[in-house]
Amino acid sequence: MAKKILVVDDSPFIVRSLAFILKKHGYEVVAATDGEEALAKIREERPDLVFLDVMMPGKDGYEVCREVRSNPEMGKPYIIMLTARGQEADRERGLRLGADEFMTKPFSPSQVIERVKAVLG
Amino acid sequence: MSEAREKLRRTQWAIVGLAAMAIAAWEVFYFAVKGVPLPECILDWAMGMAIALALVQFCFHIVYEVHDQLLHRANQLATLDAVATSVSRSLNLGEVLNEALDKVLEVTGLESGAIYLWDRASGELQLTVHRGLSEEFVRQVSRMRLGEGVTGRAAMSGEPIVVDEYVKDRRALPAAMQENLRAMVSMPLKSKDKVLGVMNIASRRKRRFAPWEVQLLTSIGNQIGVAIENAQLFDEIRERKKQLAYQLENASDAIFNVDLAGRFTFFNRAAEVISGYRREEVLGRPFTDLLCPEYHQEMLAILRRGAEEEPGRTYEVEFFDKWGERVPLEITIANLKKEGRPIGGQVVARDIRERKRLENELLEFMASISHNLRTPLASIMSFSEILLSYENENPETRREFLNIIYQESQKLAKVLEETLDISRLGREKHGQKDTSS
Repeated sequence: MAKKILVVDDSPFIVRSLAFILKKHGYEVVAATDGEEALAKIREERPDLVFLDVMMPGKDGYEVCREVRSNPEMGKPYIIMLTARGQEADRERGLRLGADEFMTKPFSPSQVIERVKAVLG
Repeated sequence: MSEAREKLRRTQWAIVGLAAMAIAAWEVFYFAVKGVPLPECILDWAMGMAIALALVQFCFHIVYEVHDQLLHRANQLATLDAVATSVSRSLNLGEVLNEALDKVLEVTGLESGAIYLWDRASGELQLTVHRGLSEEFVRQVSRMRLGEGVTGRAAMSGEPIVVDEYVKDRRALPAAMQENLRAMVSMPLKSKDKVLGVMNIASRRKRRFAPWEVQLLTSIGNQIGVAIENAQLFDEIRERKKQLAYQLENASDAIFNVDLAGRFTFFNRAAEVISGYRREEVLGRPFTDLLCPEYHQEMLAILRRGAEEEPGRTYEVEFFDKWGERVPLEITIANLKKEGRPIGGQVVARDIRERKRLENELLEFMASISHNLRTPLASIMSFSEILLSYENENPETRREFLNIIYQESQKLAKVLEETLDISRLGREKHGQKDTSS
């Protein structure tokens, strides 16, 4: 069975590009455009990996990350946070809240695939 | 007549008496043993006595002369000593001047006198204290220019001037004649050859000033000059100390001192405002009560080894204010010394809450710009790479992706334009003309 990946970003183009490239490599892709939707999708879809944007209106990436990690019902998806601010403080905060990895925008699709393959096999 | 002189006179007459008896005994011997006739013996006695008297008188004249000279010198020294003692008793300028004038009038037996001080600001001599002069006269001579009248001349030349007979002296001011002054000495008050003022003493009776008196007065003038300079320096130091204390107290930066044990010994007003504590609440308490714990070690080390090693270095620390809030401060530390030994440190602290806030705001602003640039750029990069990697994708999809790239490029251009606008606005606000547009 194909591994399931959730892409969370309020920018539809980021979602589109990640979804496209991940599908091309045979992964099942689910998308969400805000924090609440992301939490719901994680609960329902049980993704193996989550691309989680930090800056989103409403519940931001940090909060989603914290809730996922503090709630055992959410499973244990691998979380790669996406940030467009590139500040060290953001990175530290994300890792403290339980994110596994950080990726700074802009990123290249081939780099994304490389990481995903390394994590999910 | 002095006691010593009385003693000398008694000795003189004793010697004369002894001589009379000795010569008489001699003549009695001649008359009784040698049979010299009596009238001749009496005549011889009389002649002998005359010679003895003359000799004794002559010798004692010299003795008196030497005695008087010695006595005189001793008196002069005593006077000088008395003046020096009385004027150096105080560092208060007014007291020094009053004391000096009184003492000089006392030793010279005169009734009128005045002291002028050189006023650097106005370039004039200013009458400061006086005795035995009419108000009208004092009003007329309260200010003297250099070279004006006797006083001004004495100040200019730095040498004492003696006026023996006022009415005959061309240098005298008419006012002095109306005041019925007859004789006067005007002596410059000097310290290290610098004229600081002039002291005048005058007599309404006929009075001659002997050279030795003028000489003595010159020495006295120098003594008073030194005392005046000391008093003026003391005043200046006190004034500066007051000024410094005022500046420390009212500086816009917080300033506090701590002793070697780290206890507050001084806490200025700005420190009170920043910390919320009144000085009574903190003086005597260790500064570590207020300093946030993570800075204790570093600050105590600086206090122990002294701040001298890195003068002018600033440190960023945090203090707790009265309400337990952390207050970021930028501080510089200076050593405090007393007689060359360290007694603690003085800390000048600037409240950098506002600066920190602006720094954070700026970082926030930069981050948001970065975010606004990176997001469209991420799409552009991703879709370009996808288009390049998947050349066989259907034209519909390729077109969609190209459209996204185009839209996002436009968004990027817009963000850049806005950012430039903001920086341009900021520059104009700071008074710089933008020449690029």
